Amino acid sequence: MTTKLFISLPALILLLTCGCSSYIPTSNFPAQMERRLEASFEDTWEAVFKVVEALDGVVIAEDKPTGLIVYKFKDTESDKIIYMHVYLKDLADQGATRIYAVPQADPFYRKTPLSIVFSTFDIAGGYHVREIEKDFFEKVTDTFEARDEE
Amino acid sequence: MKNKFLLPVVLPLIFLMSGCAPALVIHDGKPQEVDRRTKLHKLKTDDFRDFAIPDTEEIISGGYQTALPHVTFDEVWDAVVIVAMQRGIVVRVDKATARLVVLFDAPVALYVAGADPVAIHGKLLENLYETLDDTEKVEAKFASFAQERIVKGFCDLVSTQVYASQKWQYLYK
Repeated sequence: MTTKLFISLPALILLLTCGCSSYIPTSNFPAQMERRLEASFEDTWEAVFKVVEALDGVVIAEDKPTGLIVYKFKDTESDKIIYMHVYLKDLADQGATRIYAVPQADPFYRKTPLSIVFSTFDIAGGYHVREIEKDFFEKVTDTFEARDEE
Repeated sequence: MKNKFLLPVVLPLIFLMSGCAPALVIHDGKPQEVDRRTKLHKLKTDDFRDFAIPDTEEIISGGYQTALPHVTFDEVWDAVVIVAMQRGIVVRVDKATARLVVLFDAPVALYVAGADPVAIHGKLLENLYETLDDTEKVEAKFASFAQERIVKGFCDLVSTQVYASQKWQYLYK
């Protein structure tokens, strides 16, 4: 009886815990939230707005002295609303710009029993974020290449 | 026999359907639809177009502040932006007036002021949980400890971000 219990109980716990662990598919690309572009701050700032236009996005917030642009767009792959933060840092002495891109999913607020509301971001740090970043950086590079061709 | 099944089936259906029906009120003798969404929900739907960033006095009135010594305003502002974009969604940002609004665990307005120590004032924007049809009705109420926990939680992250690049500097002096 005790042996049966010793075998069945851990097996049950194992089954339960395995069932509870969420499966997060791995990304095909390494995380690269930050890049250095050999372009001026002004040109990069303009290029980001062209990317927003290409994505049919909507600018939520922008502040040039800070170097931050926040825009919203619909990601066709995941069919989700994504809020993209693009943070530019002027490296004027090197003729370059450091560019950070941080996507966040549309938050939904959930109530706890204590009536405290917390937001939940369902793609934070997980699957698909890297694809969105990669796509963003590619689009910025394409914008510069198209401009150079003109 | 039929009546036995009728009540358990029909009653839940009535409850469900009444919950889904649009809210109507009679105004000037005509039924009018009532918008029961919260202000936050409407702002999100409208992409925060008409959202006015709270003024500095209002943010200071939130009552929470944290002081960060031995750092410059720019370093603190940079840390606020980095933490805000990694842990939430920035919906308003203005460096000229040093104010920022982020959808963190709840919407929080921040105001950065002063020099050595640089102070971060924070206020949880509880009013965004008011419903559009009646400002007396709120979707969520926050106890003062809960407000402080959320705002302090954000400021602690900023503090870590600011000092993370500085804490080992004395080793190189």
